Amino acid sequence: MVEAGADTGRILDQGYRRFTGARRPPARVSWVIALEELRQAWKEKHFRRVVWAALLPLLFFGVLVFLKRFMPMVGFGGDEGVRLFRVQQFWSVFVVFYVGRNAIGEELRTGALELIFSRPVSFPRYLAGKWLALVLAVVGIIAVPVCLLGLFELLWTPGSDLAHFARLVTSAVFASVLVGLAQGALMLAISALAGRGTAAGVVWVLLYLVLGGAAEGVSHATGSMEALALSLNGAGGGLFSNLMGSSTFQATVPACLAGLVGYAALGAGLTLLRLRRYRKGAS
Amino acid sequence: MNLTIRARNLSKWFGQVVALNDLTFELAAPLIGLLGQNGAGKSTLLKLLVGLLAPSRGEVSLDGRHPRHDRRLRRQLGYSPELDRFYEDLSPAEFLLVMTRLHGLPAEAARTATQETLERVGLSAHAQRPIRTLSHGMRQRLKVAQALAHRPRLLVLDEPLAGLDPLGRIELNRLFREEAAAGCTIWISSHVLHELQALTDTVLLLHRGRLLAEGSVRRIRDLIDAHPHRVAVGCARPRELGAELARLDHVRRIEFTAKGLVVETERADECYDALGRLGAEGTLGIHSLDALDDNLEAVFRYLTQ
Repeated sequence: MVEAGADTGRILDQGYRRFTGARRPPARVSWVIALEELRQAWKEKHFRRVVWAALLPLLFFGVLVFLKRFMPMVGFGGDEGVRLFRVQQFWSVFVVFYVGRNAIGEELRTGALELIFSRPVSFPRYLAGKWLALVLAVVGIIAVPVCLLGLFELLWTPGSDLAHFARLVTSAVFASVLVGLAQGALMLAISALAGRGTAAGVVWVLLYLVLGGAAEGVSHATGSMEALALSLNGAGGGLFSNLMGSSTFQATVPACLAGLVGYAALGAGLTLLRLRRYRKGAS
Repeated sequence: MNLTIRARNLSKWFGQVVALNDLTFELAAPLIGLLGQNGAGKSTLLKLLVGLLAPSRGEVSLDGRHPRHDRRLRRQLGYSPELDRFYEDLSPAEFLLVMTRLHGLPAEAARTATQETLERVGLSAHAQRPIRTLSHGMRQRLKVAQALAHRPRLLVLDEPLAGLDPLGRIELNRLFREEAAAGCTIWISSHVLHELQALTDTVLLLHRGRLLAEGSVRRIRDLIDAHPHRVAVGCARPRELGAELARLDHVRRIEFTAKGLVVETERADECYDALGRLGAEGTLGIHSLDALDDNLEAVFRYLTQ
C-alpha cells in the first residue's frame, strides 16, 4: 500500500469548515429538483404567458357565476366547474410542454446527469422530482382555477353549500393529480427518449392530439363511451365529471382511472428503462 | 485521515470495448494523480470511484465501502466531470446552490457554502452571470466548485486544469493542495505530465485500460531496470570525475557537457553513493547533482514504449 508522501502538507486556516450539521432527509432531494425545474420554467417568458393566459377562462367563468346571482338562467346549468376543468386541461398541455420538454433529455444530451448522479440522488428520487414538478404545474393550472371558481360559487350563488364546495375541491385535486401524473410521465418519457427539448415538446403535443382523435374515432366506431378514456383529455375530464356527478357523455370512473394510471405507468416505465440504460454506461 | 481506495480485479467494458482491464491497487494518499493517454481508461476509473458506473467485474471500495450503493458514502464524494456543459441559463450561484442542496444541505448552509466556494475559486465577481456567458477557464473553476462546495472527503477531478491559463492553474493547484492538507483525498486525472508532477508524487499510470504502475514517481523509476538512470553532475573537473566514474561497473555511459557531465548508470543508488563520496573528498569540485529522468515524463515514456 502506498502511504502519504514525506509529510509535506500543512493546514492553512482559511476560515473554511467542513459541514457537520444535520442533512435533510433524502426525500427532500425530490422537492429540490422539482422546485428548481419549476423555477427554470418560470424564467421563460412564454411559459409565464401561458400561465397568465390560462387564468382567462377563470375570469370568464367567474363572471358567469357572478351574473348567475342576478340571472339564474345564465351559465351551464351548474356544470361550470366541469367545463372549466376541461378547458384547463387544454392549457395543461402547454404547461407540461414548457416544464417537461427539457426535463431529462437535455440533461442526458449534455451529460449534466453525471453531476446529479454523482450525488446521493437515486434514480427513483430523481424521477420523482421531475415528475413532481409536472404534477405541481398541472395541479396549479387545473385544480387552482376550478377551486377558485368553486369558492366564487360558494360566495355568490344563492343556495350553494359547503359540502358541494368540499366535493369540488377534493375531486379537482384528485383528478388533476392523476392527470398530472399521466401527462407528466408521458412527457418525461418523450423527453428521455427524444433527447432534444424542442423535438420532445413537438412530439408531446402531437401525441396529445393523436390520442384525443384516436379515442374519439374508436368511441364513434364502436359506440363505446369507455373508449374516450384512451385520450388524456377524455380520461381526465371524464373522471372529474363522474366525481362531480355530471351527466355529460363520458367514460366510467374505472375506465378513466385505468387510462390515466396506465399512461402514468407506461411513461414512468419507459423513463426508468432509459435511465437504467444510461446508468449502465450506454448513454 | 485519507480514504483508502482499493480496487480488486476491477474491469469495465462497454459492449466489445474493454475500458479497464483487471486493475488491482490500494492507495491512501492525500493527492493521487491518474495518468494516461487519451482512451487509457482514466475517466472510466473515476466514474467507478464515485459510483456513476458499476464494474463489469471485480470491485472498487473506499474505506471498505462501495460507492455505487452507499448513499452516505456518496454524500462525502465530490466529482468534477471532464465535460463542462452545465445548465446554461443558471448563474454560477444558482447552479452551486442546487448542486449543494442535492447533497442534503439545508438551504441556509447551502447558501453559505455556495458563497464561500465561489470566493475560493475566484468566481464571486461572476456569481450572477448566466453560465453560458462564462469563459472556458471560469467554467473549469465552476466545475471544480460544484464538486467542492459540500466539503467532500474524496474529491475526484477529471482533467480539471484542461484549458486553464497559467494563473488559473496556479490558483487551482493551490486550492487542491489546501484541500489535501486539510484532510481531503483528491484524485486528479490528466494526460499532461508536468501538471500532475507539479501537484503530487503519488501516481497511478494507466495504459490502454491496464494498470502500468502505482506509487511514487521516484519509486516507480527505480523499478524500471531496462533503462539506465541519467544523472547530470555539475563539476569543475569533469574529465577527472569521468575517469573515476568509468571504473565503476554499473556506469554504462558518460557524456561531457558544458557544465560537467551526464552519467548513465544501471544502479542509481550506488552511483549517488559514489558521487557523494567523491564530492565529499572535494578534489573534483562537484557542486550539483540532477536526476534527468527521475520524472513522470520519463517514467511514462519508458513504461509505454
